[in-house]
Amino acid sequence: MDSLTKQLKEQIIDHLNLEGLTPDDINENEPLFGEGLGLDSIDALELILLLERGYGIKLENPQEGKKIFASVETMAEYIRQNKK
Amino acid sequence: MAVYINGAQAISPQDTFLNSQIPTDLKEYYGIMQSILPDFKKYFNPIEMRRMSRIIKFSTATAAECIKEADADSIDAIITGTGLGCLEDTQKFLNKMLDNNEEMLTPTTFIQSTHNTLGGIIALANKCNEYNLTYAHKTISFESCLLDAVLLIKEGRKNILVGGIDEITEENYNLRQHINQWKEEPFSNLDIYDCGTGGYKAGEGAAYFMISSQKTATTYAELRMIDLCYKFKNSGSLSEKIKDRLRSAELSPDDIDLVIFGFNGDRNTDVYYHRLKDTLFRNQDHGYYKHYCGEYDTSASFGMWMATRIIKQNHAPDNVILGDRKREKINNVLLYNQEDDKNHSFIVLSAC
Repeated sequence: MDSLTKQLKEQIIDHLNLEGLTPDDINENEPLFGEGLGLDSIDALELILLLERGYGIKLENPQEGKKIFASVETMAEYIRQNKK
Repeated sequence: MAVYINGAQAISPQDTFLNSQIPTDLKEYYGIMQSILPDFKKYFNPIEMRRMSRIIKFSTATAAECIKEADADSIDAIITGTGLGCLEDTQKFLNKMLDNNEEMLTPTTFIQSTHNTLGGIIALANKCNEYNLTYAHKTISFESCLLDAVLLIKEGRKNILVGGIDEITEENYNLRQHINQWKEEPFSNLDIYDCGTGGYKAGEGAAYFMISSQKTATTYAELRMIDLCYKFKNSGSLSEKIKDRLRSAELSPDDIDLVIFGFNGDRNTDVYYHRLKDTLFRNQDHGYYKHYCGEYDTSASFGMWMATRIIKQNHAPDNVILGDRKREKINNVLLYNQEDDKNHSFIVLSAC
């Protein structure tokens, strides 16, 4: 797990208040929504704000959301490509 | 039409949760009186719990046990009363507004900060799409719920869940300390009666009741009367009002066996209780409850929880009673609360 992936997991745990979970409990390739962590639409808004506040990335096209937030790894990849 | 209380549960700063009796071994607090909380993992899974603040957890758990105890076929309405609502989430949201210059605000704390979150969560948990209302009427929030519940029962609904819920946070406590609302620390909750000083003890809690049109095996008492008055011209009109309202419930002051007063340790407020105690109700037993729960906007709900236990067991523990006992049986209990001569409330519970 690279440092960005680990940091992202820590931020997700903190922002979404996932009490009792550690970064090691989250598989970076598992789906964030539905299965896996079982996140919902309110969490999606929290993740959009996490990208904006934490990495200065504003999601311009909402249609991309599904692809970007598929897993921790897809989020990390998007950050690597778009971080300002 | 008779109105019954078929379930009554409370989380408070004392060992009251799932307790069929009023605890006699009181926990002593010198500062804030915070609720004793159960293990919430028994009530919520981790995914549910992550968005719940402290007040939402202790409110929902109390409601769940009240519903379970009453074992009602249906819940026909959920009515919650709270003076300050979900204070912790409100503070978080407002602090984030300041920290982020009113930009990029996260939705969770805002959604959870509203007063009606408490009733909404119970409705979701019980898949209850019926009438759902929240009263945020400061110190008569809970009593307003009771009034509404009685009206709904008279309209034909059978089971109404009613709750009084408030929390205290350190931030709120510190703010209100600036206007001298609290007793100067350290001050024990066990010393609030007749202490002769100003200010009161900060408390919190949740108490839920299943108000029903039918008497069942779980019935604690009959809710005989609930009445409110914002302000009285003088102490004489207070006595007249009580007599008048008792008459409408086919009772006289002499029928009342125990009066539970809302003494909170603030000499400016307590003087009104003393007046009634020494005049209209001088021949009754007298009790109080805020040394158990502290003062908060919906503390009368804790008083009503206490009254349900007293009626059911026909006995009030020594640390509830003030002075000598005069009555052998406790058939009718009057709960009287007010806030500095405003928002007077009267609740009568009767054995049935």
